[in-house]
Amino acid sequence: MTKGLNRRQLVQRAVGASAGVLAARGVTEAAVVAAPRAARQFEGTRITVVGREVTIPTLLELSQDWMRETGITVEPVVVSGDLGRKILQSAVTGAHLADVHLHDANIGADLYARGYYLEVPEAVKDAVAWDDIFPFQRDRLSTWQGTTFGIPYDGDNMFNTYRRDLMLDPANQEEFSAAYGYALDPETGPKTWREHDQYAEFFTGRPWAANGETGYGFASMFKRGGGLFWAYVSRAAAYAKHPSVPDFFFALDSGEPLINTEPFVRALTEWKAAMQAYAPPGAINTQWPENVDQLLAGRVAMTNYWADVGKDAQNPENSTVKGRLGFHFTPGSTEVYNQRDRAWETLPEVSYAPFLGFGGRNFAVSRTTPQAEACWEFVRHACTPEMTLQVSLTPGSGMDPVRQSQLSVDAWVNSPFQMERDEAERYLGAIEANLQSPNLVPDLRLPGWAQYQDALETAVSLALSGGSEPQPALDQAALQWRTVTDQLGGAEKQMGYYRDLLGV
Amino acid sequence: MSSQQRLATWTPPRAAGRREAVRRRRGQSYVRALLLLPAFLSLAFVTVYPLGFTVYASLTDWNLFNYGAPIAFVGLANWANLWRDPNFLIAFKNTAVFALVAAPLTYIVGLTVAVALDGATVGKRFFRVLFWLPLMLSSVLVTLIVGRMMFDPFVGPITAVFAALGLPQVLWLADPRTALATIILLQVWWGTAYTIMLLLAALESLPPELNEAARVDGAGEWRAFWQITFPLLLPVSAAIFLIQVVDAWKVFDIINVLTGGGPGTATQSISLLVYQQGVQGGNISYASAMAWALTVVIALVAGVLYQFSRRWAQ
Amino acid sequence: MGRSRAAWVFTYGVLIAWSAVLLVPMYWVVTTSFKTRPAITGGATFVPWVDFQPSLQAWTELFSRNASQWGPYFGNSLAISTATAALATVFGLMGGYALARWQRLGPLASAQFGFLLLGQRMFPAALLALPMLIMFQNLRLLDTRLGLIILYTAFGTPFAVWLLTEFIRGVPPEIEESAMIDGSSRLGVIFRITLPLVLPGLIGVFVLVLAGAWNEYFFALVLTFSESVTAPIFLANQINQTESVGWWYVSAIGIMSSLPLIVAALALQRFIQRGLVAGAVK
Repeated sequence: MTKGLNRRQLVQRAVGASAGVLAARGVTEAAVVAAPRAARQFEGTRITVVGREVTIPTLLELSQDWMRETGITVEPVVVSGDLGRKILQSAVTGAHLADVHLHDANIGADLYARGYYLEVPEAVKDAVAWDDIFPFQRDRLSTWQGTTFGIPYDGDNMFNTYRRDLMLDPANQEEFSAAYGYALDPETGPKTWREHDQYAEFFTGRPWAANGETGYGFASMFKRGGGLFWAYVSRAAAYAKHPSVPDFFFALDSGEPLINTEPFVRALTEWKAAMQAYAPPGAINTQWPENVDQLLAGRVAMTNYWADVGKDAQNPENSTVKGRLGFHFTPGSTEVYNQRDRAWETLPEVSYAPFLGFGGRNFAVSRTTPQAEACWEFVRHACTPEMTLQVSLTPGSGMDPVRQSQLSVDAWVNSPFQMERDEAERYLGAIEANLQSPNLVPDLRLPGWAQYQDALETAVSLALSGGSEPQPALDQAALQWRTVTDQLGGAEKQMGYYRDLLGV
Repeated sequence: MSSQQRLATWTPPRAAGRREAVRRRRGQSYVRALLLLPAFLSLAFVTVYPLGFTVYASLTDWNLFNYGAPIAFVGLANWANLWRDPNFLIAFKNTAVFALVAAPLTYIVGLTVAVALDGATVGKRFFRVLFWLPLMLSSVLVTLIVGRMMFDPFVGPITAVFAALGLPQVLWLADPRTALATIILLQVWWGTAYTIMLLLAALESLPPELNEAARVDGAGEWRAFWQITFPLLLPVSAAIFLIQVVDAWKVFDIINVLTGGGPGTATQSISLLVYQQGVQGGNISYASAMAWALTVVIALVAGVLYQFSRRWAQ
Repeated sequence: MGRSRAAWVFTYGVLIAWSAVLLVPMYWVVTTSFKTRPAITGGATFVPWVDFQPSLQAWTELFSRNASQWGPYFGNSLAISTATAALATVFGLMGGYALARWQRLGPLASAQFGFLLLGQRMFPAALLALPMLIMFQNLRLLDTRLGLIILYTAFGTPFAVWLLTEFIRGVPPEIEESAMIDGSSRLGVIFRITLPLVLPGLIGVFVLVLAGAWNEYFFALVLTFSESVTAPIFLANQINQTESVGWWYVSAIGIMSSLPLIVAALALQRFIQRGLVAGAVK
């Protein structure tokens, strides 16, 4: 919305930053130079593209030369509001929204299952350096029953962002050790949820915040319809995702929902207690923007959020925390529940279960387009490693790294974000560790995802607000999940899709 | 109404002959139908069609996300599920509380302000215009500004003023105990304008001699109001009340923009649930059953109130 | 005026209190539109130049850089609401004339028909959302201005008919009769004599339907997503983004979205009030 520099300036800086970086990262030359084939073949062709508000204009600005060379004019279709719901709505109702879509990966099932998009041709995969993309996004999130429909453009994943400066402070160090018997760790932040809540307790009510006000421990998305699903599931994953058991949301063999099992109840109980004690007043209404604001305004010491917050923090106009941040896995746990054995296990080391909440975004070409050739031409240009990087380096684009080649520290340091080198290293390190984790937890990309999400959010929010105890609230959600599964063709069908997603 | 009487006494001009009159009558009924056609179509479009559609949908298992599966009849299953669905029951309770509190409160505030405004001598025009303004504001604007921003614990003034006065911190929309109350306050802020306007018009249409007479009789102003003025306001009041109650049962905009039904289910309304389940969740069949249940309730409430209002009016 | 002191205190106590209730939020939104981030994130600020430095940032941004952002939505709202108001007023005049001048309409007395018109108000939007969604999809009206115009006109027409019936009844039929005896056609009479007499009603209906369509939220939310998104949806979306809330910007957009209507309403308030009062009290 409000940015210090205008988009053109930011885009230009992003281009400068990424130049040269990619070749050094070993990306094939062919992919970097998006060679326009048969240049005038598309003269006068017009196609439309729909996607996030800042992302698409950024991309189109970067594509001016390409448009001149190919003769294809790409026009943005602007969607106001929740893009995912609107794309879903247009798919369900069969409306033609645009020729090319940049859609939420999470609703991919509802889109791919009804054949809303064209299959991605092998030639396009080759042209966009397919293997540069992180494996889960490349092989799972972009496919449906073995067929690739999407090209990953945004690798959403959640991790803990914390005020490293506070944890480096000697006075804090000393006091914390005295109180809790272990040291504040500025390099990793809290490693488990237990530590997280102790860190949070420690930083709550102390006058470290901006303007000398008292700060709070952490911010999280507690609001229904405001990100609650992802905040809660990323917290529960530490307990509920056993490294050797793939079942997470459902028991794979029976299709029974697992969201009312012990680890989920425990996570909810603890989360609620932490919210009441260590989150800013009115936390139950915190949604995306407030969550980011609270960290940027210097009001909270930590937040478990997407990679976006690290980028938002770089704009000194809006942020008081630039250069002061640390990034590490979402806190984990040594006690993990084994859903197959129905028992808690104590692991020798902290187990992290990074949650790919929201799933990121994919490019796809609508089946209803009359201009498929031109659309693929555009997609193969837009999805090159270079273009993907440039877009992700533009503030407000909301695209997080989804390719190995995007994790170049130099690019981020020299980008419009002007990240400090240390901070960039920490930031990209956390992202890489997350995306390469063997224990990552995919989001619930199943048909009917919106209904599952709503049922769980309602239940969790009810428990957070004191309207119900965690167990009965989650039991109710599980009951509704069963109904949703039945409505959508039954457990066998849905679990087939779920297995596909997990790759088991 | 005098216009009604005028209508009754109006007869077509005699000049035309009998045959002419018949021809004209036929012509008239044709013209009549044509003139009313848009109104008829509109009514059918926004009542008959939706009623029929939702009855049909509520008897099926229609789900937009069950891709490729045929729509099957399931009888009254959706209706039976309503009474077992805690979310629907809570939404029902919240909506009822909202209507039961917001409508009378709006009326009481509106009456107080209207009576004061009627008695004003200085600045009446100014107050009148000001009090009427909220009517022109959109629900979204009122919700964002008066609701969200004013009550925001960090941005808004209310929390700051409470703190300055040493009052305890109230979390308004974040506390399930106060969230619905806050939304009711918002509805009163917004909805009172209409009530004030209607009551003021009614007050001004009363002959001024009424109060004079009462004062000559030595009755205090307070008693004069209750014994003379208020009874005369009853018919208007009944109409206002009916409108406010019906509108309150339909509440959606404020809640969707402000809380989305939370915290928990503290502000979940029926309309919001229909939107979430039907439009967002694609569960057309179940949402249709809920929408129908809501319509039936509104019809019952409106019917009862209408009977009462006729009794009051006499 | 011979009224008691207590009555005077009551009158002005209430008036001032209610004015404050209404004015404080209005003051707040206006001042907020002149704030910048520091004046908001540090906690509430109250008085310009005293505890914050006013800035035109939001307004310049709105009118220079971001005009293309809100322009289309306001354009949609303008087109949809004026078309709706025009149609509903014409339909209202037609239906209102029929109801006012004839006592019976087939099986129904005109008063019964009028009751039917108002009964429409009872139906919750929630009941209509799903049928409309499916119908709009089948008719390819989803996300079109035309679709919203049709729907809003269908809502506005019964209301307009009802209101204008009242106004037309206020014009004695004898006036029309005498003109017809002079040799004018009925249509000519309506245009030359009745129309000017009910003009206040027409203006009132026009503005009220316009305001209703301009401010409508629910159906715009359900039935639009790109091409025909209206101003209220755009405004509501300002706080549903993943970025931080720019309250100064939201305030400026909010003011802008309501100012035209407020100005029109103030200018025409007498007509509108007459219309509203007549619409409810009958």
